[in-house]
Amino acid sequence: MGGKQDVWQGTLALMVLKTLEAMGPLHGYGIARRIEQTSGDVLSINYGTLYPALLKLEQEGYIASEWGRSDNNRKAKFYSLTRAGRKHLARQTQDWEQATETLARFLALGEASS
Amino acid sequence: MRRTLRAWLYRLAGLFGSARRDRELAEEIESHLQLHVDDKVRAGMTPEEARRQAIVEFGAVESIKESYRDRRGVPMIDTLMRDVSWAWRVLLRDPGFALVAVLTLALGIAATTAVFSIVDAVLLRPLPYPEADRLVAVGTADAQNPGRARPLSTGIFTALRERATALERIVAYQQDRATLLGGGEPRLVAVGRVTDGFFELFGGTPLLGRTLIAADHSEDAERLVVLSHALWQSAWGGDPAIVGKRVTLSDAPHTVVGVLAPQFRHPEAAGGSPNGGAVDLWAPLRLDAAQHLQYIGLGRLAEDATVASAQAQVDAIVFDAVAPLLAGMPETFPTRGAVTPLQAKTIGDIGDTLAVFLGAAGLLLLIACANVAYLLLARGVHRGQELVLRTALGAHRSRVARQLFVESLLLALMGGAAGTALTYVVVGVFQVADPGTIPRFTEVVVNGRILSFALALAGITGVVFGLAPMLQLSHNNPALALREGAPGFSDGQSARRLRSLLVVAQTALALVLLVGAGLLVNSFAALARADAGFDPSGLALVEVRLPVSFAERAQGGPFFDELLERTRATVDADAVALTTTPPYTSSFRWALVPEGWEQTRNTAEQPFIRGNAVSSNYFSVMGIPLLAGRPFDEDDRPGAPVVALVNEAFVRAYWPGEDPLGKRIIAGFSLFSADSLAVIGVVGGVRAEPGAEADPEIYMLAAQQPRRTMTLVARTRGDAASLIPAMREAIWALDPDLPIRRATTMEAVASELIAGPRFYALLSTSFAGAALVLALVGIYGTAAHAANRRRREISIRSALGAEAAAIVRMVVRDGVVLAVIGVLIGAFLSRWLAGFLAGLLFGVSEGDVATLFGCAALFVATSCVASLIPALRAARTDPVAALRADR
Repeated sequence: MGGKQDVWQGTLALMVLKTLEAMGPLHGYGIARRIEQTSGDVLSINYGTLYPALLKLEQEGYIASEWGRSDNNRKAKFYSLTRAGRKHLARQTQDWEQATETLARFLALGEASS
Repeated sequence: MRRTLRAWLYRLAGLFGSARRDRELAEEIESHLQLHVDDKVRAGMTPEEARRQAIVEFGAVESIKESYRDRRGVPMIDTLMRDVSWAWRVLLRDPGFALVAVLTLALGIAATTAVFSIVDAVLLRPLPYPEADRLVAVGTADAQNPGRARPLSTGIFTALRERATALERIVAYQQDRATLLGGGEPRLVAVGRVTDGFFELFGGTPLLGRTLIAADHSEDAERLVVLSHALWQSAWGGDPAIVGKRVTLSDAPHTVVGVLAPQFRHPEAAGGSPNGGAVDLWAPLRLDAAQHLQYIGLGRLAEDATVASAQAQVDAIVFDAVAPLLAGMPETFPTRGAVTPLQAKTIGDIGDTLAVFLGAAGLLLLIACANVAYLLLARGVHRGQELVLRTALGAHRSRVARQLFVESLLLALMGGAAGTALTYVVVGVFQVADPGTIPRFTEVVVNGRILSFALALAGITGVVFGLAPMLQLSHNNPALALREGAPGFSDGQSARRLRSLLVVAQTALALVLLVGAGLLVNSFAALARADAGFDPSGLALVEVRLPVSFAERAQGGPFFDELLERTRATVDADAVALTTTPPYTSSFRWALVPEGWEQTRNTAEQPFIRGNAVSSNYFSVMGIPLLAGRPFDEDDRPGAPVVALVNEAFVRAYWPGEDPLGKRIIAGFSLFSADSLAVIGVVGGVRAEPGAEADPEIYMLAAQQPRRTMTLVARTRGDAASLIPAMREAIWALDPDLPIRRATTMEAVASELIAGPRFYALLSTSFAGAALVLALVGIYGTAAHAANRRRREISIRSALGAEAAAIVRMVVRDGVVLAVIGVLIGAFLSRWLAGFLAGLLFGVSEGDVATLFGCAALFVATSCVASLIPALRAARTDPVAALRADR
């Protein structure tokens, strides 16, 4: 249980939230497929690892779940973004963007002086 | 932060309903897989291939389920709950064992908790009054005995009230008995006379009406009384219109001004003996003009005062107050004060005794723990295979150890619960069996603190005996255990040694308790048997006090003569006599100077001698032997020379080695009918109380020294109590308004006086009995185990023709050997520990060999019997069948 795991879980959570924001309510399988597609198939995750992450998000109150029916009429549990989730996503996105911007400046600095 | 909190709350909630959630997760996973399969099939795969790939891409299902579950609940609690449910199922598999273990623990925990409840109520809890830690008892003391507090006089009390700034408040108290008329039948009540401030000091709040205020204590105020709740209930049935009712108390009219709330507890330090009869009502105290030392002082320290500073101040004030009176006073006259914290004064030195019994209860608990540890170890033999298999299948030893520990804890908690229930019963028994000699005993109750104590005990005992199976675990060789025919998991040498150690320890401790009980029982028996100096059987006592109208003491004499005649005529007694002070009663003391006393002594220490005025036949009625001289006869009457009989203690104290007959005793400054008395005889000493020595005592003829208060004594061969109604009738026939102050039998009085030792004897015997039973269980177990283990050997022996007796002897020896070792160790321990009992013993020393021997012999004998049962069973088994069945 190191920091690496937490970072991974953090990023996964963010990807889930973003997916739900973009796609609206979606079931677990759908979220997994979407993440895979969006990452350009760079990330290949075991789909099952998503579920503990979904549970955590639900416990924290960022997403809500409800049993429903999929397109081809399969019973599935759908997750949707809550208002708190939306705010959290916005904050986290801002943090990430700031972090990458600062880093970019550092890297650019090195290049300029070399 | 809030989010994390929210998450944790959800996780706590996730501990419940796990079955339902597991199902939901399974459904969700299945739905996921289905959706995935649908996609793949659409892309062209076969359903089977699609499913296989979907599963692979999902990941390890079980591991994911576990991660999910870990996140859903609180893993540590989850494992704990699993352990607990497993432990519960294991216990249910063997209900006999569980029952015995739980009962054993319950016994130990209940005993310890019950005694603790007494210790808590008497020693630990503060007195039930506001600011109890600042309450003090205030008295006087003389320079030679600064520790012995004596009462205050009016002068001293008023001086303290005015000038002792270290005492924020001080009240004077005096207890009295009086006749109460107006509440049903006439009854004798205990009256607490108090000065202003008593109720405020002790937090006495009224249920009805009010308590006394300052104005009520003035000379010309209306006479008021405040009733106790108990008296209000028993005499007036809780009549709500009681306030304002008129009653007559010792012939004077009083008005009821209030009833106290039922929770009020009259301070015992002000009541004489502990629990010495609750006070029934309170009235204002009119301070006497005389200067006798007669009032008990109770007060509260000021904010900034300490006991020491108050003591210093009180010393000075007392000295100032008595200085003008000192001339001509004996050295024992008090010249200083005595300030004692009220709690300390109430408790006295009962603390040591209670500590002894708490220790004894603790020993019993240890024995119980040893017993349960033994049972657990013994059971380990049967569970060996199961545990070893689990280890082999990959369970960590620490996990298995933890589960064994949880089992022990569960057992301990169950024992604790049962023990708590049993504690209520035991405390109930205590409250009924109250010996009346333990202060604050009425405050004993099972409350939250006691229950927490029981819980803590359960936890600790669980840890203590839980170690046993874990120790056993570390000694084991799995390979050996799994092999068939091997002795079994935990029957190796070291395991047996551990069990033997437990049995020996149990036995030693049990012997200690047994010896303690033996000493206390012998002590009580000696006390009960001790020659009292008179014959207490079949004596009825009725005490009357003539009212002040008989103050012409000359009138008192004829009244009692007539009473004696009338009683002889109407009461079916063998003999009747009169006395002012029957045995076992505290008496007034006369200031007397025996002839030759002043010349032989340097200090002017005034003897105060126990005095008694009796009818002429008193000694024969009481069975007190005449040792020298003559008894009272018809020549001794009013007008004739005043004579006296003294007891041998008197002679030993004041005229050792001399012939007392004919010597004179000079009267001191008390109210005597003559200046000096002639000694005409010596009688045997009567003990002041069971177990105490006889005090020097002087007897005068009632006719020559009449008193207002006399006790009518009647002897019968039958039941003394049956005489009492007739005696009362005889008294009322002469004067129907005469209050009866006391009506009882001598045996009842004596019995009450030894109630304390009786209680201790019973309590210690109960502990010892329980300990003996538990230890014998251990012995039995050892013998049974030995018999079991040596099954093959026994079978072979008996097949080869060994006598049954030889086999029995062999098995019994296995059990008894341990018992003997334990007894020897226990004997040493009890010699060492018996010193703690020294203060409680009478007539038997703490090193009494006979008691030790007797208990040891009892133990060995019962161990033989306990070992006999498995031995007989072993001897009786058919050797062939046993050999065949044995693998």
